[in-house]
Amino acid sequence: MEEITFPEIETLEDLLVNAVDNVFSTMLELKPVYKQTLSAEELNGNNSPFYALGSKDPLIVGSIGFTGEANGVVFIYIEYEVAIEITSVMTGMDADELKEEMDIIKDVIGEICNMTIGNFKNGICDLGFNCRVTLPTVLRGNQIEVNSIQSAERHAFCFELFNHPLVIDLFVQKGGQ
Amino acid sequence: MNRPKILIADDAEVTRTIIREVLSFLKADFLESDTGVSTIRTINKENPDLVLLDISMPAPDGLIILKRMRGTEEFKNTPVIIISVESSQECRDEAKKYNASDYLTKPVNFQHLIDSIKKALPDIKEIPEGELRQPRVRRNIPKK
Repeated sequence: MEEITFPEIETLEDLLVNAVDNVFSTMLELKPVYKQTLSAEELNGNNSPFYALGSKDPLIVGSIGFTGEANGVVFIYIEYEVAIEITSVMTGMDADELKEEMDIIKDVIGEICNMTIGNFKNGICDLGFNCRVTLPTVLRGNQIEVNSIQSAERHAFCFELFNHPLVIDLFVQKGGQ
Repeated sequence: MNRPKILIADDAEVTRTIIREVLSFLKADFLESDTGVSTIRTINKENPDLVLLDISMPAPDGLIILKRMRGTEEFKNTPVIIISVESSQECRDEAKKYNASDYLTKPVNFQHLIDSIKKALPDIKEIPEGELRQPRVRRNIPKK
């Protein structure tokens, strides 16, 4: 049987930009603006593309994995203030009311990560790499950085939302590697 | 069936809340569960007329719950609509095999969800417009 070629960066980029567009427009009536994709080489050892774009703490990081014929983990970085705005739009609660409601913010950001990466992963499945997503995890913190996984491809997809960066850091490899 | 019971089984509270708000114009009693275990418990206790079932929940997952329901006399015909980020053919085939009424991928098109519920529960009634309360979630409410 002919081996299927793992998707090129242009394909991954299309899948991810479409997933972000679909989820944010349907659930939030928002449209993050895609800016650029940085490769591992362009990140030049910088473990946080988010800080490299000038973002400030505190931040919220949602992470979610997918396993199967393609394996990967995705980290979605946003500033805490942006997470509050997103939660406000999605729940109808006032931003001031939400400042101390970390559980609600985590729930909303976790579900947005789940839908966005689920959509992206479904695109990878459609290309012949069957895989399933794991449950999302959401962290709040300062100076959060993720070390590269040596065997995986890494791409950081940079968007802008409410004039602040939204970064989706993807580590992916074909299953069985 | 005067007021059918609809169980919303999803581990994300925000999704349960939004679905509940979107469906608030329907004359129905809504129940919620956030894990596989609490979903099974609620189904056994409340005998819902319809289950809106997520797949990716803390174990057991939605497809296992669907399979277990179909193995019982009591719940073998209860309508189940799958609502999930998973859209793989494997999951769709499994849902079809165990007679799910519909399979919707998140983010859900709410009009599609309403149509699907009306198909599963053809006798469900709507609350008259004048009696509707203001929904808390301002967005994503389809116009009737």
